[in-house]
Amino acid sequence: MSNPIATHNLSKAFRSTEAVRALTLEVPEGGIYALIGPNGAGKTTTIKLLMNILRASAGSAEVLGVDSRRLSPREFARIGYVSENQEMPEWMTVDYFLAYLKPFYPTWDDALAAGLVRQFELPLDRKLRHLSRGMRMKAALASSLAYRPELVVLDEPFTGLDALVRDEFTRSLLERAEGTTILIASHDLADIENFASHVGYIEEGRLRFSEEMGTLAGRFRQVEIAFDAPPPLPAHWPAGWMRPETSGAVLRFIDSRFDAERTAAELGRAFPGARNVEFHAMTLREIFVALALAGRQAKAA
Amino acid sequence: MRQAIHIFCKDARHCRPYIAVVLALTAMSAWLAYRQVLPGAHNVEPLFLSLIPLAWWLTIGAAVQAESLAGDRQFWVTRPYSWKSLLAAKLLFAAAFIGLPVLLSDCLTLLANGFNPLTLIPGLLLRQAWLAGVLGLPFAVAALTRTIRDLVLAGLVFLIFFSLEGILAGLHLSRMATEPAWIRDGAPWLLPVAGLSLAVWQFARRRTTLIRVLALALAPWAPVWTLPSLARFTGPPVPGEARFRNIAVQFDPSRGHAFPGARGGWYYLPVTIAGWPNGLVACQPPGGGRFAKDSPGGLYCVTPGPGGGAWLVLYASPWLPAEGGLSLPMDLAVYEQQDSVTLPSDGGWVRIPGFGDVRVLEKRDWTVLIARTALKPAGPEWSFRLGGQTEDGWWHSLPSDTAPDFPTPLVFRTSGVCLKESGPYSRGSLQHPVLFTPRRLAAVLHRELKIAHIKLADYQGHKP
Repeated sequence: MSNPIATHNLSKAFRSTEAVRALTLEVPEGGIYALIGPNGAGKTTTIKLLMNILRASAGSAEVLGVDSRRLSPREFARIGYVSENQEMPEWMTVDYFLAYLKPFYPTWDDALAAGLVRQFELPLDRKLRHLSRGMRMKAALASSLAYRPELVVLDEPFTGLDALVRDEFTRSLLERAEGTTILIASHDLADIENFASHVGYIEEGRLRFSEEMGTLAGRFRQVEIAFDAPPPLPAHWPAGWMRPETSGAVLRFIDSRFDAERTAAELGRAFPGARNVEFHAMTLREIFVALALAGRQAKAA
Repeated sequence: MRQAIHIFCKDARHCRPYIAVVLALTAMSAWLAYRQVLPGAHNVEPLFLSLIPLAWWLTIGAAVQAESLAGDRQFWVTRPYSWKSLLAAKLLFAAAFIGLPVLLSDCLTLLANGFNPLTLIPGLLLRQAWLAGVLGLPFAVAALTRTIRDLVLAGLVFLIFFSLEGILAGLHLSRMATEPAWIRDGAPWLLPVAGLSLAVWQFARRRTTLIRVLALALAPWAPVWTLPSLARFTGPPVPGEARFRNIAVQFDPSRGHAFPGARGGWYYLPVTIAGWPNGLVACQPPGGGRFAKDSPGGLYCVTPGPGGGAWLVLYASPWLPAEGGLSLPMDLAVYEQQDSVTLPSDGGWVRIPGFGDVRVLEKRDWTVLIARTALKPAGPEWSFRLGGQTEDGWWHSLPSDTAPDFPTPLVFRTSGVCLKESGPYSRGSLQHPVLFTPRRLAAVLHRELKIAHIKLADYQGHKP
């Protein structure tokens, strides 16, 4: 089977603003793909293009093997979509909401739905409009997992949720959607880091990189070099080295193409007077912040 | 279909308060319509009339916007909805909670007044078609807006727009008198068909911005929207056009220019109706004129004038050429006389099959003849003979005869004439029996009056 999600030069412009620019990515089957990026980077627009909520200006996307512009009820019966700003039928009780959606899905599992309701402690008799934000998200997730979708798409699901609810949400997602392909756009990098298998970084509508989590973690290192005196920066600064900072006789920067041997050789050439060199692994959040700041500096320059 | 019914049941549950209001108003309007046919009863209150379309507007809006088509945040757009099922559910909702109650109300009112609804099915269906046209507007607007607030705002805009209709309609319609026939013929259907087409497109593709632009482009056509003539649909099948093939309307300047009682602002063109077969008695555009709205004479119509001969009465529009050729299409209704009935003087209703009810009502100061028909224009369809003189029914319409067909669910058309009254206009004592003659609409003929050259100012009416 082809990848559940694949885009090719996908673009979306709102008048003169290009929200998504020639975005090409693939989400592998069974993978948990985290789409990260600063506010306004184009994450939500990308997801709306994939779900055929918005129409692409150019390029194409395939979801579950179907052109996203041709997504039909048959495909949507295999997709679970939860978004932070989704408008829900506020007048429905949780019970009625689930009962209403059930006939739309041939694979709806009553036992699974009941289990999700219990796990999320959803009050069945309460109207959606009277639920807290966390409860609403849980209700939306329960209604999107109860039919065992092949693909789950989550758009900023953790926004505004407290740590406990986030933890419950993530745990349930991983427990109940085992083997399911998940695409998640989120700012909550700490949570994503624990379970994402792939990550894509989008900035100003462009996909800066898309790779496996392990590869990403392996190629980003914070490099700290100690000198005897404040160091002069080399005339030629390699493209993969970002955000150099000096503090007294210490130089710090981020190497985005870390390879132990190659980096050591490059450092030897660039800083022959270095007294000590240390490499620190980076969290996804640190990588994200570094990339976002580097992007902002480049834009300002 | 199962999905459509599932969505329909959800909408019915969600819109219960709206449905309750619509049903209550429908029942009340049926009661008022029933009372209105009684002599001396007042028309339905205008405030009440405005409540019915308001309730329809909001109810349709609430149902359609339960799955809002505009916007990109609705939960349902990523659920396995079929757009056809969704559209079917909303249409079913409108049919079940607005169309069906109106139909039932019509039938019950007919039965309560002694009419058999089964004999009036074409008229009842036409009222449903009218209703569909009327409901098409809120349906389309609801499909292009996100919230009830947007819908109400759009409604206010339409209200303002339609309140200017009197002016706009005059401008548009008088200008249309010189436009090709296909535009005039298509105009009544353009708005509902185009509106519903846009709504269907919106359901299928949800191209809100594009469809909004197209909807705005339709707005200038709104004033030319008129309901199609009831007489065209409730009359009997046309018994062969061959009999009427030779009927033609011709300009007859030899009759002179003076139409007695001419009003300023109108042209009065003397015309001859040639090829008129024997036994046919009337020639009048049904409903008062092709584009007639509130004005009894319409913007132009052929009307018999005093002293014989017909006149084409034409609104003096600034768009008409002052001098030159003129082409005016028109509908002519041809009526055949039925068997006459002598009316008793005891005041009881007399049922005339295929027509309706007639009675002579005598009071101390006046005696009135009342003709009551269901789902038919009553005016041209009867005449009476009293004291050796025959008079046509269309000159004698009670106020209810000019009441709009919508929003009031009036089923009956009542017309009448005062046969005797005391005072300066007394016709004297009612000594002769009243002979009532119903007429049957035989055909509605489309004809065109072509005048090679005319100077319209010569035929203008003058203010007294």
